[in-house]
Amino acid sequence: MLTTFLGLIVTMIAVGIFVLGVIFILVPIIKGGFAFGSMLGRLIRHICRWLFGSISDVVRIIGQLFGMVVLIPLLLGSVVLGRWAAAQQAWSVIRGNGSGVCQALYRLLVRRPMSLLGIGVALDEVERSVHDAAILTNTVPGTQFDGYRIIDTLTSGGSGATLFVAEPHPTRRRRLAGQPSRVVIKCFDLDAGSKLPQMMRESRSLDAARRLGLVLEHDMDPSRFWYVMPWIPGAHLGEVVRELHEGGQGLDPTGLSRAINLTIDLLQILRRYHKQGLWHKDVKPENIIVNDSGAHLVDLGLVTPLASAMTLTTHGTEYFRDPELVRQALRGVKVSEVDGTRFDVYAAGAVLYYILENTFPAHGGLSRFDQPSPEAAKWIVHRAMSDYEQRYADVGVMLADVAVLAKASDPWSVRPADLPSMKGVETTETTENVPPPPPAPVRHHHLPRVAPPPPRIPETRRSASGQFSWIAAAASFVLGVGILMMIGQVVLTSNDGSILNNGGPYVAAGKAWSPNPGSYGENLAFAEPIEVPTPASSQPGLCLLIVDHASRDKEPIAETINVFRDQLSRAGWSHRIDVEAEIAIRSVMPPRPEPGRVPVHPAVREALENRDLDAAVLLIESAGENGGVDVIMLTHEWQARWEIPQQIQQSLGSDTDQE
Amino acid sequence: MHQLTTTFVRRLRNRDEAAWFELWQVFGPVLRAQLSRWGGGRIGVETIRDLSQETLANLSRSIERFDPERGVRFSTWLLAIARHVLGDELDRRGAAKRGSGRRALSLGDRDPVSDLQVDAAYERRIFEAKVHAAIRRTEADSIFVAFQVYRMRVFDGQTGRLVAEQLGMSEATISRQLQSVRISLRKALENVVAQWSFTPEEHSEISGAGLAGDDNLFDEALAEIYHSHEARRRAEDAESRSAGV
Repeated sequence: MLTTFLGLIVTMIAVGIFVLGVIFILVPIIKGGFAFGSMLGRLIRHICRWLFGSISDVVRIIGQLFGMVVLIPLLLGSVVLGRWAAAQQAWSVIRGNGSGVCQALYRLLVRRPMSLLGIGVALDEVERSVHDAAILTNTVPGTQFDGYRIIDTLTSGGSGATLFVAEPHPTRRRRLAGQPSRVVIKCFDLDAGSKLPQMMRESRSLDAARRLGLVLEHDMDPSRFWYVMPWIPGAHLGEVVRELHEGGQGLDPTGLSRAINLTIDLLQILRRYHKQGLWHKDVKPENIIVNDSGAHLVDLGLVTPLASAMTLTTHGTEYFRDPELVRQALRGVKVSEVDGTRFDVYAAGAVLYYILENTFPAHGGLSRFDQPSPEAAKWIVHRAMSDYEQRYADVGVMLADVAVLAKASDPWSVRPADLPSMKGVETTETTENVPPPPPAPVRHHHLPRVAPPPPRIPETRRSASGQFSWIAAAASFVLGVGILMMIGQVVLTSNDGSILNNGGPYVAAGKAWSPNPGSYGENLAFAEPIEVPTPASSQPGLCLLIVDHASRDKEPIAETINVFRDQLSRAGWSHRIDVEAEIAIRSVMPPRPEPGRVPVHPAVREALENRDLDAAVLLIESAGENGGVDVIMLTHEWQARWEIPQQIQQSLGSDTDQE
Repeated sequence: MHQLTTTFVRRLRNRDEAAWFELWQVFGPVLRAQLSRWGGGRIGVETIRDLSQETLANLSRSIERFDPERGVRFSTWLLAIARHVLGDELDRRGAAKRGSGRRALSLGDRDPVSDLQVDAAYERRIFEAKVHAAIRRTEADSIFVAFQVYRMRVFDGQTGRLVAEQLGMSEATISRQLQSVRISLRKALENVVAQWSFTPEEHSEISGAGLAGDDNLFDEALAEIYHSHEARRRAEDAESRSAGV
């Protein structure tokens, strides 16, 4: 009994000594803490890596084989019962498992032993070639881009486009700015389900994006439209933030310093956007790539000109999108009627919150801070995400505040009172019980009836060389012709309707095929110059068509607009994207002229002539109570307004249904 | 029914999109959480999102028939519609599985409120959502610095002296800012609760939650609700995010 007890005690002591030995001797050796153990430590780590990696591969193989064994009867049963969808799904999983087993076997038998012997590097090139070949084999037929070799694909967002990583051929590379060795190609393919409005929306900002160096070139063919961007290697901010917060106690001093620097990078990029007359509209961690050179903002999907006359849309990402933007979009305001830069400021504040807290701001500006952060940093977040009128007026002001944090030897010692934005800040106390509401967030710009100032164009565009403008114009023309061809082929086919001249103004009637009446996107307005027979002369000309109906994507309005567009573009003329033309026309267009025809204002004629347009047509919500579509047409001689009433819309709808 | 309620219901009936957005912003998260609970893990995040939107769409259709004199709580009414929408979805799934193609019932086919059990947790969430809406409204209407004073002092629990030091103001100024925001908050709470309540019982929830007491009690109760709402929302969002992955 005593012997057993003593044996137990001795065993426990031995185990304890062993554990302590491991902790105090082996761990420092493995970490290379002892000078003599550095080599030995590396060797032990190397062997351990091989050992644990091999064990992991074996476990994975067993698990996947077990999965296959379970799924094979399920597959056979589904085939016998004729449940093809289930069979297909089971087969897909079995294939995935089979592929996983093969890969694990390769690692176990080839890769790991070679790595153990230190000759794994020899396999790298072979594996890369096989991977590239697999990518090329897996890409759908037609995903080739002249002058580029596709080497990988990226996860695409919600734009319906596919993202490819590619290497430019040497001749092409020399032509590209910066001569990048790798690029990202964003491709919209109608055959793969991309929608025309998405393509048109992204193409609007291409010129400005090129000036910012965000787009290297763009091109198109009958079914595809793509543009080429520089490839920015790195991890997205979400991953970086997770790493920074690994300790679970908030950011350490180094992490905080990095966070502040990343924020400064972001704000500097946004300032460049805003100076170029653009706002990003989708600033979020997933769109910020971080590498050794700092933070880079990617994804041009929602980039919008600040002066755009388009209707504001609700696109964006929850938690990083200002709710005020949604409110204004629902009111149907134009982009130029709000200050888009303030929405980017809000998003920048949300990103800073995300960096500091490792989670998104679920309650907007009211979101609570759970991680320890300097009071001044919290203040900046709250200021950026506060009410539209009260937040930083522009990113420059926010940048100045963040810069104070960056310069401070101890950011924790910076008080909100020390921030530059607090100098002269409004601290007037309210004497009333309820403070007066702030002014409406929308800046109302009443359209002038007399000749207005020219539309807002970024200064850099004016200073661009004539040669560049000429090339850009030629490229836009080629792009426009291509888009027209696509619309002609895909959208405006199967139309047997006609335009009826009903006492001057048009009335759209007859049958038309509508490919996708509701596909024009959320509150999306678009401008399409097309050639139409003008009512005055019945001679065809070039017309700018602006569809700006609040319910443009709802039946029966969408159907009516489609039919009307079909009627106008039935002859299938050249077609190009030209937002600036729309801005110019809108700036001189009377808000809503009286019904009937009157002589046109000289400013309108001048704007049409400057854009080589014969007419412009605006389709908007009817002023009457019958829910129709108002058509406002401007020509060189006259302007007119008429209405397509509800009854005709219904007849159009029923015609279409029957078809 | 309070005039603010009738005004808001009228705005909803008139398809005022701002009113609908407000409804979505205030109660959307509560609906998502409730639908998720009922779904018991069988319904994905995206479906939950669709269902909560469908709930509001149904509300838009049924608001024409809504009789405010029936004495139904606003929260119960909202929950009833959500329950109906979920039931509809489950019926549809069941029908699709059986291959019968049976069409689910429409809201008009049954009384959604009659057989509904409303639990206390849901009621608490709805009330917290209202309080949070009042805080948000006050934040938007107050001077930025004044509201931040209130946030630092009440929600973050900092002393008046510390807040004064951080902002470079005197303690007396801090007290005055605090009081002005507090007054705004009390009014906003009254308005928001009145707007989203149908019954006298709902109107009296403010006093029940300690929000009708003196300044100290008011601040304490408000901070508690704020933190509770924030913590719950974070947990629910994290849960739905991990489910989505």
